[in-house]
Amino acid sequence: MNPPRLRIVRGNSEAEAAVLGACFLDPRAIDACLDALLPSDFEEPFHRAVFTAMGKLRSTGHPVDPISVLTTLGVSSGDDRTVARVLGIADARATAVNVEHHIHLVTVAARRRRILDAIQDAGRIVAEAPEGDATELDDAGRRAVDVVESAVAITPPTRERTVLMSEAITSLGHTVKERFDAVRDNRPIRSHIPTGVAGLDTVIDGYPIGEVSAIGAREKAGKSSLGMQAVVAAATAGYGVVVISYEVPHQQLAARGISARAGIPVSRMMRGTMDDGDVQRYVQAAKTLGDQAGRAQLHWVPGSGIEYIEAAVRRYRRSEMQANVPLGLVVVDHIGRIKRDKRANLAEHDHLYEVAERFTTLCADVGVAGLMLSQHNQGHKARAAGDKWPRSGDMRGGAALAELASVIVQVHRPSMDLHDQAPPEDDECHLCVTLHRHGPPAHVPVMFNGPRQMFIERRSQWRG
Amino acid sequence: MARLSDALRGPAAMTLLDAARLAVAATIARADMRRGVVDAAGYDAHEARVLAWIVDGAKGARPTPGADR
Repeated sequence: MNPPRLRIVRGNSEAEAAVLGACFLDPRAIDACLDALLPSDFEEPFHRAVFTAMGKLRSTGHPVDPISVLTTLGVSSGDDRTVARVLGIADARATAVNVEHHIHLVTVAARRRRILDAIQDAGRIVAEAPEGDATELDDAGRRAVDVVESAVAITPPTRERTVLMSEAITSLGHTVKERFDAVRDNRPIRSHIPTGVAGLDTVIDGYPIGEVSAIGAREKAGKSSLGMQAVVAAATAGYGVVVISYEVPHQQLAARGISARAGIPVSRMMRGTMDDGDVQRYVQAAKTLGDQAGRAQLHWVPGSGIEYIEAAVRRYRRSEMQANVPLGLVVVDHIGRIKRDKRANLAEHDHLYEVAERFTTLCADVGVAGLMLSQHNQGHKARAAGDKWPRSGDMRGGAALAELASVIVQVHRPSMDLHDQAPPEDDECHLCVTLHRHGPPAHVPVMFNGPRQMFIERRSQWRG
Repeated sequence: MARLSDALRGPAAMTLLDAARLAVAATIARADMRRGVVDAAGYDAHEARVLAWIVDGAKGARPTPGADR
């Protein structure tokens, strides 16, 4: 099993550069920085080196200016890039009045980084414990908690730290509990959430916990259905699920999730043309899901921003449900509908990047699998008929997701390009794994069953 | 269990099971209204009875609109 990975925004590069720039302007700023910061508080190695050089110059009574810093760093006159970086830091600031605030930002980022590093180390200790030995697992759990507690000891008590630590320890506790339960029940230890499509699970193992996966598809090609298959599979596997829908009402989402199980065409459910047999099958499906379906929370919040996702996830984790059913999967449908904060005055591209980045950080921080759905743009229309296989650039927010996601699955349904024909009831198509950080990309042959709005194995038969 | 009145207003959050039950109850009741066997005035009560019947495991006959009046 791979140890859990925390992929987060680790530093505040702009604040680091602002602090260093202020030091060039005002000797009092240097003293304030030397009092408050350590070189290791700087995430960027270059910033760390510059700060160390400044400290040496100040402690020996030499002037702290770009030329002296370059000399202390041992930079030769031919190293234009380094010279330009130091001069750039010095020239970028016109005043040092905000240095205290920038020091605070660097301190907060460094504190957060230390805590998360400790959590990552702790997770690794637990993950690397030998499987099958409860005593060793117990010991690994204790050592992991020691690592986290040592991080607490070196960071001052702040509200942010308290929140982070409580969430991290809860997450860590679930990792340990999951391993204990797996050993007790003699089943494999999960680091992934099932996708609900067996062929896809074979290729990617499932959606990785602590990381973000993305599903891309054209409008009405089945991205919400694929997301709901993961929801039902995760709930059935015993995980709590939070679905944030910015587009499809929760009753429609639920209809897809349940009708796939019940073998009732979604259209009959939505039009209200179910016969008595349909109703009985539906009730039977609901019974089969039982409490598991209750583990999935559906939120329908059109017009809301990214803050709603963060609030809903944190609310779940602080609720009583978390104690019984730990949150495992968060699904967002879809990125293009998340409201932009107009006050932030961000361009569309920057807004989508910020959304993807905040979602990635959230999933890493709380240790859940994130699934971000994205609708395709019209890029495929510009390509030739034989060149319609999906690409990351076809997705809204594709550039951000290609950088931040661990897995990207895209739906490719060639029948959608045959405009004069309705897609067949069982539409042969592919789930294209176009990005897979833990393995090779692949195309998974499947069928999209239109009446039941679900992806099924290409060669398997539908079983209602 | 989410209350029907909440569902009609469109609450922000509900469980998958509750949402599915409500979806089925609403679609059955809407179909009955389209067939003209229940009018707008009796719709809410009819939908509530259908929902209760589903929550109860759909035992016995499906509630008929006439029983709501």
